[in-house]
Amino acid sequence: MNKIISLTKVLLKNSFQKYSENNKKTSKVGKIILYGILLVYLMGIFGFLSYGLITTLQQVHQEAMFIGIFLLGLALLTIIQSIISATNVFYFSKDLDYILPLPLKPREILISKLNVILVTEYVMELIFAVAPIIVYGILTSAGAMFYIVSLLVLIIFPIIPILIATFIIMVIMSFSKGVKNKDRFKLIAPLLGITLALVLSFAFSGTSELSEADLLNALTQANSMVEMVSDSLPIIKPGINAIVNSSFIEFLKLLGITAICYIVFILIGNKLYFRGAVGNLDSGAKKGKNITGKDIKINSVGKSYVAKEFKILFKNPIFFVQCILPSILMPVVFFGIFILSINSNNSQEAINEFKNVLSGFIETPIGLAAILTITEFLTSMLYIAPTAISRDGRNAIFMKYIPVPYHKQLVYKGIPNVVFGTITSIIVLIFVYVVAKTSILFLLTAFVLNLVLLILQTILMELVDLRKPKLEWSTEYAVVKQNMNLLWPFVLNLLEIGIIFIVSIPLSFTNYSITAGILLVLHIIITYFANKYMYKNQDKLFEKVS
Amino acid sequence: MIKLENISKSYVKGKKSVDSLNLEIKDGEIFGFLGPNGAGKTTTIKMITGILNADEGKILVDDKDIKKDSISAKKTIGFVPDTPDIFLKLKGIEYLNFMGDIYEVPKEIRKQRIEELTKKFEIYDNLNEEMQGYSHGMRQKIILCGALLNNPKNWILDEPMTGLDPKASYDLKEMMRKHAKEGNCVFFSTHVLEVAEKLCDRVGIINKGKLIFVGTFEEMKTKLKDNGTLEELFLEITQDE
Repeated sequence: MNKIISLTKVLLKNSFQKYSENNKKTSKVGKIILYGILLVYLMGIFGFLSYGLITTLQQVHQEAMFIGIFLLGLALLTIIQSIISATNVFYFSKDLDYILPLPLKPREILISKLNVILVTEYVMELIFAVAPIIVYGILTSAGAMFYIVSLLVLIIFPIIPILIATFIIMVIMSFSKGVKNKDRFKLIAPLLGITLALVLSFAFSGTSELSEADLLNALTQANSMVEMVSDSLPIIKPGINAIVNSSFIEFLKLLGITAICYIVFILIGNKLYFRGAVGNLDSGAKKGKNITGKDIKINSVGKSYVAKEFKILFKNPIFFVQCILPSILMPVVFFGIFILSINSNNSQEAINEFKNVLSGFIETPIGLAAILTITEFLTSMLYIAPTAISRDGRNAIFMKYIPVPYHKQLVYKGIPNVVFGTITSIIVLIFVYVVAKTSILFLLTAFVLNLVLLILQTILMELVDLRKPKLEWSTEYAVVKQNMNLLWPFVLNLLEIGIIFIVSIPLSFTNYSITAGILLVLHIIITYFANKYMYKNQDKLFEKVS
Repeated sequence: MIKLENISKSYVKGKKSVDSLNLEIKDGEIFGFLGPNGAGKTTTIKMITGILNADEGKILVDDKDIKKDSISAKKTIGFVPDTPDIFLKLKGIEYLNFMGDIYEVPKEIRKQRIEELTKKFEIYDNLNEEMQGYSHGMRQKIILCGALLNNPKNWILDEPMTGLDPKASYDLKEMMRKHAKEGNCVFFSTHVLEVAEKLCDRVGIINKGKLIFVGTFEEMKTKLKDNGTLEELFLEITQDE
């Protein structure tokens, strides 16, 4: 047991490492304030959303259904996130070479690694799950037992989704032995895992036919979805019962199911993990063909530099999965589920009416602000610009000895961020078009605004990375998982959303084009000055790269 | 030509990593830069190549100030850093093409130089492979090829022999001699005293940030006890400080 605790501690320190070292007290206080603001901001958003949903449900006396939707969402989010975490913790972290020679049982290594994922999920629960439970408790005037049982449920609940995610990724990774291109396989594995998890979760959903009044229809649809998924995930029902009825017995049921799954997992995982992990994922030297005249290619400095950036992002599975994938995958998955569930559970008439209502709302200043906010939120998960310098590690000095001005290099390094952010923006706009049939002019306006916001975001994120680049790392995983700079996208995102709403709320009764015009001019001016600052101070900004 | 005028650099306030360093490496010269670990060799090299800014003093590369006219100065430098693990996800040929684009090497010259350099270092057959599959020595070789692709006038090499096999090491030394003979400048750091003795026209020894000796090996021997081994000479100079 002691060994497991020690190893878990080391692995955790390795994951969230070293921020306290060499730091002045003032910066520690600053960080605590920063975390505090972020936590309150995110908890606030989820608390507010929960408040809206619970009060709506209370009107039809269906508030208990909220807990079902909440636990279902939590389970799915945990599975998706754990698939990415499990791929990193179990397969990409490259720590097995150091751990395997130690006198540890395979079981101890497996449990320690699971603990690392569990701690990550607890952090996520703190952000996403605590506020909704508190809001529910207040609105339903729940007693102390409710909070105690809810806390216990939240502690136990993520374990089975983590086991499912880890199991899926272990099965996929066990096939890596025969794969020729290991890097591409590493890139595809988490994608495959998430697809598989979603297919499993939703395989049986979307077939119920209900035709009641609109609101009730939507509610029953949510309920039926919960019921269907709870069939495939045995923890949801006891979870609902435990929280809704503040029942300790139901919690014990949940605990029992989890304990059985855990033991079974450890027995299987012992064999599955070490078979897929040891040595199988190292990409050795591949014998290539000899070069020909065609391989000697001439390009402009800019084109060559940008191509190099793209190649490194694409060829490096960790960078691709961590820096690009979330901002592309999240909208595709969530919008896909949203569209599917609307279309499968409603009559054509209801769908059209829903679309008309939505269309009327979207083509307004607030609708525009909402679209920009969603895109901003999604692109803040794009970690290309915030790691532009850090990704090069110790080799970042390369930027300083080649005869290319620093500012130009920053522009080249920012281009992939803008390109992938634009893809996210297009996905959002396609979704808006599909559900609300908005005008092309409106979509174009939103697209241009998104683009300007994205360029500004890219410049600011590069400045953040230059301020404190993380250049000392031994695995690429550290660039993303041990980099506090990556909190800044959320902070700047919060400010940006503030600006958008400050402009759009007073103009909410006017045509959206006025809001768009003001936002465009404002952001072009801010972008111009941010770029000018970067240009003027390029030498100073690169001082930390040495 | 590389000229350092009264160069100083501190990482920590009050402690100079490089202290009032004056040095001139003339065209046609191979200059070896020696010193114990942490003496200030890499810091000096980083200042010459523009990676670090000096706190005081001026650095001229072919009469161009590395701080004020950095792009023109950098175009004349071929730099090999001490760690060759760079852009490992790129294929060898992709890296060389990238370096060729950055230094604007025309196609025909590029083709000829790539063939010449990579065949000499025996990595021509590996150019279509990702560099992450290369051994340490092969990585060192490809970085050398990239740095020398545009035939820069001033070679600045930080521990260039580390990891090279005997043949590659011999070839590199021959190339350094040829480059200097053609009127160019070669500046390199090393720990291997025998290499410095056999190859360099002059050496500089740096210790605790101060340049404590500049001259030929003969001068070093005359200055100190003349029957000592190379190691003894080196230890005597660095320990006296």
